[in-house]
Amino acid sequence: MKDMRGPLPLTDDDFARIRANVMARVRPRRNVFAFRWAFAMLAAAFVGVVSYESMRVAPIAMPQLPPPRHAERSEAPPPPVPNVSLEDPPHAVVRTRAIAKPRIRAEEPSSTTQFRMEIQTSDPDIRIIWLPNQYDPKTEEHS
Amino acid sequence: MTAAAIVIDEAEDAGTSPLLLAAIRAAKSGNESAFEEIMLASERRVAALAWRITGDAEETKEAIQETFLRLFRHLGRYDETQDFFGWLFRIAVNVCRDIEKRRRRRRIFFPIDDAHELPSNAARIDDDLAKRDDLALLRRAIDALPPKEKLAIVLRDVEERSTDEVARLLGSSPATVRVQVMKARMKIKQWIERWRR
Repeated sequence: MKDMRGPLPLTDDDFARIRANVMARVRPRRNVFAFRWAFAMLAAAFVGVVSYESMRVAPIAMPQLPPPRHAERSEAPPPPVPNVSLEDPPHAVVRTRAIAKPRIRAEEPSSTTQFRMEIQTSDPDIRIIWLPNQYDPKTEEHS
Repeated sequence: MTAAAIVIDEAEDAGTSPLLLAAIRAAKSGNESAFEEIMLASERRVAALAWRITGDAEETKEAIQETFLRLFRHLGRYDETQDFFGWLFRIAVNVCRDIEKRRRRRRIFFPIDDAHELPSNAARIDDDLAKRDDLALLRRAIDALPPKEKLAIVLRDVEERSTDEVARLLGSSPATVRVQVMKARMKIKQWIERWRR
């Protein structure tokens, strides 16, 4: 097995060439790395200066947004608390009851609307026509 | 501090010498000439290892170059309490493994025409060589081994490293290395006997 070792098939020139190849591949990497860093720092400085200048020259007015709805609710005054003295009997407390809002009805027909009712009798020559003078909603509801 | 000084120092001491350590620190901080000195101090040892594993001059050159490129890339990770050459040889072994893998893949993708011709020609040439030269036969037997067994036997028997050292280089346990070396020796013996019959 020791004989397997043998002499190296590489000369000094081979080693020099390998070394040169390695160093050539190592050097540009470091330069590129340094260049990238310098470029990044320069770009960051430029962005900083530009943003500072724009803020200093023309301050941007922040748009006034309407307050959110929940904020409105919280700002509304609390419901009135009845003044109840401890001396008053409990039955004297006046309770306010919420009054239901009147319902909005569907558009009512105007009083000027003319009604006409025709009733056909068994005799084809006789027909009853009823023309009321005025529209009465109460009679309309109960009938 | 010169490369020669580092080499002399290495010959005296098996561990990482203070001179080499200083060069490593300088290289870590970006000193290119220090890295070149490290290369000068270690390239022949790396070359010898790669040559014994690959057995091919061109692949040995490729292995040396790739080893030092990887060394440059990972030098920052080197732990100064560890033996530098052990760490460097581990990189070299990994590089040689990759080269072996690539070589095996290349063998699979031979053109069909070449595949018909090449084995017969190669066998005849190797047959003549083997009859004349036992060393060539041994080299061919080692080349025919599975990659792990090949590395184990080359490092243990050709390089004459200790089992523990081989285990460290291959990233396995000493027991595994012992088994791999034993299997490799048996396979080489059988292979050579078959050839001589």
